[in-house]
Amino acid sequence: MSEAAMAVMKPEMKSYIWLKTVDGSIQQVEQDVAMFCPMIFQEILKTGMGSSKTYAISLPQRVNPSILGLILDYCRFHQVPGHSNKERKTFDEKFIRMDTKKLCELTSAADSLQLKPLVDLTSRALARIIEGKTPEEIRETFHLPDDLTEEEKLEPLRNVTDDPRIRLLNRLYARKRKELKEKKKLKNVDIEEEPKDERSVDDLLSFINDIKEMSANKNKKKNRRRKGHAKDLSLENVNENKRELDSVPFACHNRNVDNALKASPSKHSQTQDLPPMSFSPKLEFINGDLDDELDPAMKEELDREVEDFARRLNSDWPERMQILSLGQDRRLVPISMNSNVSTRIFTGMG
Amino acid sequence: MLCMKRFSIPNKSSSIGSFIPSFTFSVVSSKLTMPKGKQRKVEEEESTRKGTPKIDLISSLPDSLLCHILSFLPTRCAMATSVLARRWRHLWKDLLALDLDNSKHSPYYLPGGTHRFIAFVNAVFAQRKALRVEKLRLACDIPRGEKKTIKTWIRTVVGPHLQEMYLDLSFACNEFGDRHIKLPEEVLTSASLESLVLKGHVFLTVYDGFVDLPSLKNLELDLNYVDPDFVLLGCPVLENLKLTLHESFPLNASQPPEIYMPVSLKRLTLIQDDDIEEDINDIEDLVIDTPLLEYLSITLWARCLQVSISDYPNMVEAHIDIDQDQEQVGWVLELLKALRQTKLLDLKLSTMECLLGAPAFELPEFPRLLNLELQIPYFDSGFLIKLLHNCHILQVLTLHNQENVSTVEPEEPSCWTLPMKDPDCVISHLKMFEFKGYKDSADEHGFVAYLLERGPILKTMKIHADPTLGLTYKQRIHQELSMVPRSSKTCRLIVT
Repeated sequence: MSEAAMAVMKPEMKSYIWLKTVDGSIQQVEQDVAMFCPMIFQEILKTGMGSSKTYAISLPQRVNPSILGLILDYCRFHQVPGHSNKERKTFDEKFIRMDTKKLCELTSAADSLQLKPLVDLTSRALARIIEGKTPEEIRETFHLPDDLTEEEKLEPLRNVTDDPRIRLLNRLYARKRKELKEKKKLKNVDIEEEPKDERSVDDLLSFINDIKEMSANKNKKKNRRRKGHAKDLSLENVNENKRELDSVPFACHNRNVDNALKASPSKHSQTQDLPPMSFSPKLEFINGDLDDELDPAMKEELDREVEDFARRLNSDWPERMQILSLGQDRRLVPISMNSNVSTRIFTGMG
Repeated sequence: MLCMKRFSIPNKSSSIGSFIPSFTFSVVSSKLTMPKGKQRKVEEEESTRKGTPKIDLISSLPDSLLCHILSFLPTRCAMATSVLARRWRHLWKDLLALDLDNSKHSPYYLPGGTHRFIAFVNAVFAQRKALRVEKLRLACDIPRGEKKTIKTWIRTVVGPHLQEMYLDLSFACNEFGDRHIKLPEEVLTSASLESLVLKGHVFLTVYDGFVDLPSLKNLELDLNYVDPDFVLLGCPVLENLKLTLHESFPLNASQPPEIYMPVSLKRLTLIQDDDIEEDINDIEDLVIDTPLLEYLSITLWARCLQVSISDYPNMVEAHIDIDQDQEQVGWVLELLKALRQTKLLDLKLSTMECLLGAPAFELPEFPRLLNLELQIPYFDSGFLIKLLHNCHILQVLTLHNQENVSTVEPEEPSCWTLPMKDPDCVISHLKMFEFKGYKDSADEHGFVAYLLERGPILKTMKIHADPTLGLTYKQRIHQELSMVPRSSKTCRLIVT
């Protein structure tokens, strides 16, 4: 402790701090520069380490020697109070020019040393790299594994223009169909899909009620909320929502779609009569819970089931697709069944 | 598993920003990809060529850091990262910053009506997991009937953790009736808010009590109706202020407009909108008693009946564009004196006009001034030499001769006379000189030649001849000035 105190108490003499990286190598650094890092600063104050080679401060494992060099360069410049804001900005812009791999390492190291300005600088640089790239390009740049299934990738698309109530409806609807389908499978009959598209809204609601009963055993807690939801949905609203979703396109190129959108502002405003459940602070938590009501793994499984089911459904049933998309000509020319179909069914249903 | 390739259908941009609406097409084009087997082969070849296995660069970072990186992205972009990899699927849902920008110039603008944007934002709120919001940026047009939705969003966001709010809301042109959206009063009494930017058709009201923003450091108001004093009184630690006054200032016509700048201010930008046809009210009382002020930019032409100015010892940069009658011009002179410690001074034409016309115009000394820019209504070398005598360490001088636009005439035309004593700055400090609107009068020529002859430190001299002078004339100017003996061997002369 006394050694460290002495090191601090001699400002005229250039004092040095000893730092040890995870690979065992030890470096000597000017005290002013090293103390710019909050983590090192705190280590010195608390434990008194760093004043000699034997008592070098052990740096976190995420800091390797070359990255430490970069960090110290940064600290050396910025700890000088005389630089103007412009000079600091220019330095930062030059400093940040490095390959992506190094940038990631630097972010990680700065974070472990709690050097917030450097963390922000590197994070912004990484954000700039991400912005403006396609997903493939990002995966390429950062070598990310492409480990999501096709259906999972489509999920955000589906959810963007979704009203959460409709998503819920879809999920219940799909699960119901799956169960019915499985029943039929067991009977060992050719899969004959029910003509569900002509079904009235009453039917839809009865589905929900059925499902409620069925899943009542599975998870009572979740069900209670779902019940509340189902009850909220009046006939009129379900229709409204269906229409709302149908008229909200994903593609931005089709003019028909845009016209339909402009034609239906009134329908949108009507949905506001529904209790804004996602926004009142009390319910926000609940709604968030609803969305991720199952733990992520189950949710993904469910999504996959639904998509699988939808795909299977539509592979035997091309004509139905026309009807489902309600005549709005926004799909492109026939394409590979599998992927396209799963998109279409979800736009059709919501 | 099919790999998704680049979209083959022409797209606005296939970047991750526009990723969501145009996603369908990626699925479409999957048919056009290489067959699976070939694709894998190509990948293998690549990795063997490189010799190193492909390591996930960014996965070593903890989730919190990844989320921090996402917080610098617009929310649509951040949301789109959920398709990158399994780990990224739900990362964006923990974001505490929302950047929802649907303004027309934004690259993420959703065409086809704001309804799509509204649906998108609803989806964001519905799907995110984080219970609080620390930063909100919202810029959009409000379509008919959606006022309540937007107010609901704002209410959701306001809380004890909200640090920054940026609202730029406007109503579509064909909107009639009530064209304002009332800001929920929780925003104006938030103890945690540090930065607030309000633009457009937002209406500030506080139903009972007053504005109370004890942590607010940055404020920007660009509203049609604003009572600035009402807000400023509640911002005791404000450091940055940008206030734009439009024609509807002040809000309450019966109350005289007063503006009291918070004492803690370091940066002040006060702009009075020029685009007004009717007469504007006078400002009853303007108080800029801000000793910590470092940056000042004023564009003001309303009559200010009473102005309080304090000294600004920390001033670094000042841009002054003030137009006042002869009766009120006194405070402008005072302001100039208060700014004497500045390092950069930029006086626009209106300011120079009313200063030069002022009866008791005394040039203060500028001991720290390094950079001076003047828009002068007429060229008067005598005045300029006097000014240079008062700027002892001036390094950069820019003059803009705006005789063509100015209505102010000198009392007597000036003529060039060699100064008795060379100004200090010319001999030892002046590095750059730029002259815009050079008309090649004798006085101007004399002044420019003097600088060339007597300025040993001069590095660059740029003369922009008045556009009315033809090309041959400009060449002649260049010739004449090049023949002037220069005391600085490294001086570059540019005539355009």
